[in-house]
Amino acid sequence: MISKTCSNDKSYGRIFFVCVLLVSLLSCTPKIIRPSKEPQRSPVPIQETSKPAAKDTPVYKPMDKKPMVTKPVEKDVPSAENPQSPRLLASLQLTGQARQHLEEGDADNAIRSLERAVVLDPSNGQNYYYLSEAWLQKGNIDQALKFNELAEIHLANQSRWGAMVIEQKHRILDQSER
Amino acid sequence: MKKKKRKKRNKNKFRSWIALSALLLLIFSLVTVSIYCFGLSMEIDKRFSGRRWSIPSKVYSDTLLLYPGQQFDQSAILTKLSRLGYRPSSGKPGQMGEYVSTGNTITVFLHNLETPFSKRSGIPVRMVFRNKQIDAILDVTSGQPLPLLELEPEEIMLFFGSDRERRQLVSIAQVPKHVIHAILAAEDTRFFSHRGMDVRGILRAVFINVKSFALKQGGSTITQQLAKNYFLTPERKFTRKIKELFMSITMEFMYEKEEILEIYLNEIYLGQKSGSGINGIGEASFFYFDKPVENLTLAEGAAIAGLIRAPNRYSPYINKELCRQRRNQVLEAMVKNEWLDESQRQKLIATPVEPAVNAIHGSRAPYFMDYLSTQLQALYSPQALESLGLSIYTTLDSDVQKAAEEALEKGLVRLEKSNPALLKTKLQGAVIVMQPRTGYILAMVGGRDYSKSQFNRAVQALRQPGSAFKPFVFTAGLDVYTPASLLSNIPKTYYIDGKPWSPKNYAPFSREYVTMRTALAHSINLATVDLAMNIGMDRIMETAKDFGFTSFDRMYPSGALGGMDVIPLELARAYCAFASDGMLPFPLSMKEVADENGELLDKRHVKITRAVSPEKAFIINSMLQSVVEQGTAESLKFYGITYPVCGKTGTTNDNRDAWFVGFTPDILALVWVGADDGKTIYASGARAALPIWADLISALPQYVSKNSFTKPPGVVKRTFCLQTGQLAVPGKCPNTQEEYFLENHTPSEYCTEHQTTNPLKQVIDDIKNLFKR
Repeated sequence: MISKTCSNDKSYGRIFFVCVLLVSLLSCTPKIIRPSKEPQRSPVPIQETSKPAAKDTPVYKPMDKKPMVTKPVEKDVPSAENPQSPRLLASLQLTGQARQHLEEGDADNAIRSLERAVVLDPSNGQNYYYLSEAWLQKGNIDQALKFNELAEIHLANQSRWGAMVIEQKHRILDQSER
Repeated sequence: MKKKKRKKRNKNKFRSWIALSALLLLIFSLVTVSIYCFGLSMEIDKRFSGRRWSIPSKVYSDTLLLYPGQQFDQSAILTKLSRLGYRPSSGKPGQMGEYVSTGNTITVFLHNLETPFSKRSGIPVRMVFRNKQIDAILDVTSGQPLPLLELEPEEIMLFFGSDRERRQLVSIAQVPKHVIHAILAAEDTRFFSHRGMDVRGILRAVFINVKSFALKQGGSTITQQLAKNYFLTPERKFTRKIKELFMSITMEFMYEKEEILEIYLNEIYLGQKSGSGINGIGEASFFYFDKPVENLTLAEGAAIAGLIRAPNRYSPYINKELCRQRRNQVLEAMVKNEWLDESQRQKLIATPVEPAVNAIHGSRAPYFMDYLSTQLQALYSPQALESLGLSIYTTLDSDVQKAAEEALEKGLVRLEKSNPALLKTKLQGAVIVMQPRTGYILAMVGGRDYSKSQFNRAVQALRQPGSAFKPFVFTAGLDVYTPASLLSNIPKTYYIDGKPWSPKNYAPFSREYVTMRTALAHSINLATVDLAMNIGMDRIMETAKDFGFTSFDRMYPSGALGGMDVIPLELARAYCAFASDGMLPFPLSMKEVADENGELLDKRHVKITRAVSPEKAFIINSMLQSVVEQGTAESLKFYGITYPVCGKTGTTNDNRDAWFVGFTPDILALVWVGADDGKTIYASGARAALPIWADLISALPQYVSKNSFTKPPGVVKRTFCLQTGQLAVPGKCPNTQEEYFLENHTPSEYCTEHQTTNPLKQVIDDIKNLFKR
C-alpha cells in the first residue's frame, strides 16, 4: 500500500519533470524576431506586397534571422571638458574682446569677434551667450533666441551660467513683447 | 593818269582786301582754335572733375588666426607669408614686410592690419615651432607672449573693367621729393618752366635723333604724355600730334603744375602683372618694392622713373641688369639737373635693383570668385565694382582653397590611373568646405580646370545625392523610430501609381532585420525604404524643406534613396545643421565691403535657423560616426584619420555620382565626383570621393580640433535588448547594448521576451540563462 502510494507519487513527479522539460525545450526554440514597434503605415497611395510578386524580382538567398546591430562609438572628450586646449584659450581671448565691444555698445564688432571665437571652439557656450546678447542689443529677437538656445545646450553643466542663460531668455522675451 | 590812279586804287583795294582777309582768317582761326580748345577743355574738365580713374575693387581672403598650440607647420607659415608679400631679409627684419627664418623660429615684421573689423599696427613678432605646431608667439619689442595673432587678408582678385588696370591712388604730397626729381629727370626736366610744350626739348630731341640717325629721344613733355595717354588713341598720325599739342596747352591753362604732375603720377603705365596693367606710382611701388610710395628710397624711385620709357623692357622682374643701367641713366640726369650730388650718385650706381618677391597673382579660387560675384550683384553694379575701388572681404581661406584644389586634382588623377576606361570619360569633381557653425564658405572648387570649363558644379550642377540623402530621411524618422529600432531588410516590391518598384541594396546584406543605426552605417537601401514608407514621403519632404533644400518640392519613394536632384552647396549646407546642434546656417561668402577710404559699406553676419532639434542632430551625428567607424566609410582610418568624424557616402545608379560629406564640429567638406554628361565613373562614393576628402582634411591639421560633439541634455543613454529592441532587463536579457535615445522617446517597455509576468516562464528563463553563462 505504502509502496503503491510511493509509486503514484513518483509518477506525478515524473509527469511534472517531463512537463518542465517540455516547457523548457519549447522555450528554447528560436523565436521570430519582430521589429520593436510597427509604426502606422503612411496614408499615401502606395500599395505594397511582402511577397515578391513581379516576375523580374530577383531571387534572394535565405537571410540570417539574427538582426544586425551596430554599436555607437565614443571617442575623445568635448573640448569644454579640456580647459587646457590651446584652441579654447585662443577662443577665450576673442570672447574677452567681444565682451569689451559689447560694453562699449559696439554690437557689430562684438559679433565679428564672437563668430571667430565660435569657429575656434564651437563647444564654448559663453560665445553663444554673448552672441545672443549682441543680437539683443541690435534688436534682432529671432537671432538672439537662436543663440540663447545654443548657449543653453553648451552651458548646461555650469550652474552659474545656466541661470544667466535663463535670465537672458526672459529678457529677450520681454523685449519681444515690447 | 586816270588809268594809273585807278590801277593804284585797285592795288590798294587789293592789298586792303588781302589784309582784311588775313585779319578775318586770323580772327576766324583764333576763334576756331578757341572754340576747339574750349571743346577740349570741356572734355578735359569732364574727365578730371569727375572720378579721374576707375579703380578696380579688390577681393580679400579672410584673415588668419594664429595661436600657441596650433597645429601649423613652419613651412606652411613661410608659404603664407610669401603669399602675403613678405620678403626674406638677411639680418634682423628692420622694416614692415620682412622676415627671417632660422632653425625653429620665424621672426617677422608684420604689415599693418586694417580691415573694417580688425586693426593692428605692424609689429615685429617671433614664432617658435615645435613638433609641427606653434609653440609660442612673442612680441619682439616687449618680449611679451601673444595669445592670439591675426595675419592680414590676402588679395585674391580684382574686379577689372574692360581696361584691366590696377591702381592705388597717391596724392602729390605723399610722393617724396627725390622720387619726383627722378621722374622729372627721366621724362621732362623743364616741366616746371614750360607751358605744356617744350620747344627747347623738341629741338634737342631732333638734334640728338638726327645725330645718331635713330629715334632715341622723344620731345614729349609730361603734359603731352598725359594728354596722349588720357584722351588719344595710340596711332601715329600728324593730326593726333596736333591735337596732343592743343590739349596740353589747354591743360596747362586749366590746371596748376602740381595738379598735372599728380594726375600724371597716378596715370603712367608702369608694367604688367598677370594680365593686368600696373598704373600709377602708388601701385608700382607696391608691385616692385612692396612698400608705399612714401618709403621709396632714391635708388628705388630712380628705378621706377627709369621704367616709364619701356616698363616691360626695363622691369627688374624681367632683367635686373638692364633695369640697373636705366636707373643709373636717370641718376646721371638727376646730377645734371643738380637734384643729386655726384658723390651720392657714385654710392648708388653700384647697388643692384632688388625687387620684392612677389607672389604670383592670378585667378585664384576662380569658382569661388564667380559665386561671390553673383552674390555681390545684388548689392553693386558691375560698373561700381570695376571703378569704385571697394575692398571686399570674404570668408575664403586661401590655405583651405589650395588644399581643396590639390586634393581634387590628385584624387581624380588617381582614379583615372586606377581605371583607364575613365580617361575617355571627362571626369569632373567639386569640393565645398564650410564652417558648419557660421556657414562661412572656406573653399569652393567648382570643377577640374576653370580655364576649360567655367561651369561651377558646386552651385550650378543638379545631381542626385544617392545615399548621401539618407541622413535626412532618418532624421524625419526619429519621431517614430529610435536608433535601436529594427528595420526590415527583406526585399519587397512596392506599387507606386500602379507600377512595381523593387529597390535593391548596393551590396548584398544578408540579414532580415537591422537596427536603424546599422541601416545608416552600412547604407542599406531596403531598410531605408522600409522606414521611409512607414513614416510617409510628406514627412521626409517637410524635413528636407527644414534643411533648406530648394531644388525639389515633391518627394517620391525613390527620393528616400536620393533619386532627386540637389545642388551640391545646398547639400553641404544641410549637413552643417547636423554639425551645429541642428541650426542651419546661411551660406556666406562675403563678410564686409569697405569703400576706398576703408569706411564700412556693407556687412554680412552669421544667420541661423532651426532645422532640427539639437537632440535629433546629436543622434544622427552619432549614427554618422558609425558610418565612419564601422560602416561604408570605414576606409577613412586607413588614411590616418582616427579622430571622431561624422560622414556619409553616396553613390547613385550605375555609379554616375560619387559623394562623400564628412564633418567634425569645426569643419565640413563635401566632395562630388562624376561626369557632366552623366556617364558612369565605375566607382562608389567610398572609392572615388572619400580619398579626396581624406587628403583635404589631412592637409589642414590646424582646422581640426579632434573633439567630439557635445551631448545635449535631452539625449539619454539606455541599454536595450538586441533581440527585441526593447529596454533590457538587467541580468535577464542575454545580449544587450547601450544606445542613445531622445529622452522623450526611449523604448517604453522592458523586454517582454526575457522578462515575463508568468513566474514559471521566469524561472525557466533564469535556468536557461544559467546554462548560457
